[in-house]
Amino acid sequence: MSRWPERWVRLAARLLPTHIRDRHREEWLTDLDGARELGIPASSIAVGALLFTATIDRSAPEISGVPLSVAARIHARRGIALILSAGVLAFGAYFGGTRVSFGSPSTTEAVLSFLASAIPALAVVAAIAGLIELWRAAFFASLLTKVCAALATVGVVSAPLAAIGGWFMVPLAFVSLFAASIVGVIVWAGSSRPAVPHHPTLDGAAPSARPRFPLWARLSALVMGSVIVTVAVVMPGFVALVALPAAMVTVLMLAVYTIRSRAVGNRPLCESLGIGVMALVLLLLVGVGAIDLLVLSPQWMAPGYSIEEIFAALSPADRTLGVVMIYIWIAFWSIAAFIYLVVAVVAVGSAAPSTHWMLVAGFATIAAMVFFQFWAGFSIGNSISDTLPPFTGGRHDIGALYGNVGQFALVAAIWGAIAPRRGGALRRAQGTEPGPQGTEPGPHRTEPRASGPETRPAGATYSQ
Amino acid sequence: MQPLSRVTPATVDVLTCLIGSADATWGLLIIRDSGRPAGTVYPVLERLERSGWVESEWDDDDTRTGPRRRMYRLTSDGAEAARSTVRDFAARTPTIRTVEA
Repeated sequence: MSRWPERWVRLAARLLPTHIRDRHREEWLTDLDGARELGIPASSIAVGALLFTATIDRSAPEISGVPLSVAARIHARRGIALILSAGVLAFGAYFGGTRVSFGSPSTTEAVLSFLASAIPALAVVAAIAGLIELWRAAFFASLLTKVCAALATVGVVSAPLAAIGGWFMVPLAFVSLFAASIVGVIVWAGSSRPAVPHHPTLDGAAPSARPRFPLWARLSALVMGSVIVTVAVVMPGFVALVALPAAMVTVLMLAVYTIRSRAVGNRPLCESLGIGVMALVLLLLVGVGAIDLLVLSPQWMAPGYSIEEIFAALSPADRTLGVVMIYIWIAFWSIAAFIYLVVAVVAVGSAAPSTHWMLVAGFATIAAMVFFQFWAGFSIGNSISDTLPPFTGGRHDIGALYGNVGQFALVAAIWGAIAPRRGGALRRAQGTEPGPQGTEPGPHRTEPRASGPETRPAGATYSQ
Repeated sequence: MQPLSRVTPATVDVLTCLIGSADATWGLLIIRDSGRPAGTVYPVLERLERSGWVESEWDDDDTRTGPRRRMYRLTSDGAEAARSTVRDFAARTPTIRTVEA
């Protein structure tokens, strides 16, 4: 008998949700064995298995292994994350401007050109996918989720209309998206956490299995974070230095708590490497951002001039203000990256913070760093473009790519913070994931035996 | 037990096979006896089982080796609903297929 039907059957089983996979693999393999005896073509069984896999209702709780209430919140959180990601991408694409090239197109320019086309398209795809997820959640979820989905739909549809000239749509887009965000946060914070007991993390641990920061640490981090963001947004530059000591104290307090909880530390090597790489990337990005601000972008705005000539041409006031802004940015984010490195070193030997949240914090830091890098260079950039030919604003290609990195880092941070992951933790919690020693049970038995133990998800009528 | 959202001729054929069997029936026999392709019968059985009309278990034939057969039978509520469904369908569709159980 050809091996192809068996291969197709195994493939079909492999594509099924984990906790029903073994059952159907064994059932179909048995049917393949008996097909010839009953005069049924083996290919018919294979096709049947493939059709079954392709048409099965994966959202059904008995199939997915996830209760409807949890599934609704998973869709809602994923939808909110997608809508926010679409907003970040669209915002960056809209305000990023177009690239002006003074020379022959380079590889970097080709990449930037591609990104300029791809990012808006990606934003549209994310927005549509986000709306679909929200409506999937709303289909079997609370009224609040339906309201969130409706508001988000109005906002997402009216925002591009506003951007292409329908000014009267701006208030509608703004209000509806703002309201959708508020409602979305209520849905997320108010009901999804207790309802998603297996909210997975990148390290595969359920929340209950990992240590939590005490209330004082979380509140102080929240307050200090808000202060830093508010001060930095309202008065970037000098005043940000005031928030820096407070931020350092907060982080050090968290680090102290982390050290005290290291008794439970057992982080896998790959996760430790991930945190280490993130710390190094942060330091690297500070360096790249500094070079862009001090060398690359000034020379890009004043081609043909040396960097000394460019700074010499500026008025003392412009030069001082511009350079100080850049040095403040370098100092602030060097310290932030260094703090992250310290926490990373501590975290490698402990269990808290989790790898998931360390990476989310890393991506969020990159996003903030890139955002403020633009503003740190704004003053000197204005001065150069007002003083030297060709009297135009802009930034070097590396700087433009830097902006894209920040955009994608913010998307990653949003995705990591909000969107749930139905990965290893959920499967482990259901007891259906193969063990680390490859203990997935084989379908064949060599000894005759009675029927195996039945496992059945709570509330499901679909037996294994 | 949940009502079926749709009853197709294939669903009726599968139900007829299950009604006609006193004991649990091997899924492959349902495919043969219904005359329907596996690609039709497998999803129907899955839908019936998920809706609580059918229950399934591994065979307890200790004389066989190799992978186990999956045996299907109507639940008590499912048996009653199945007869009613087949009867109603036959009344609506005079040309319903007759299937050997």
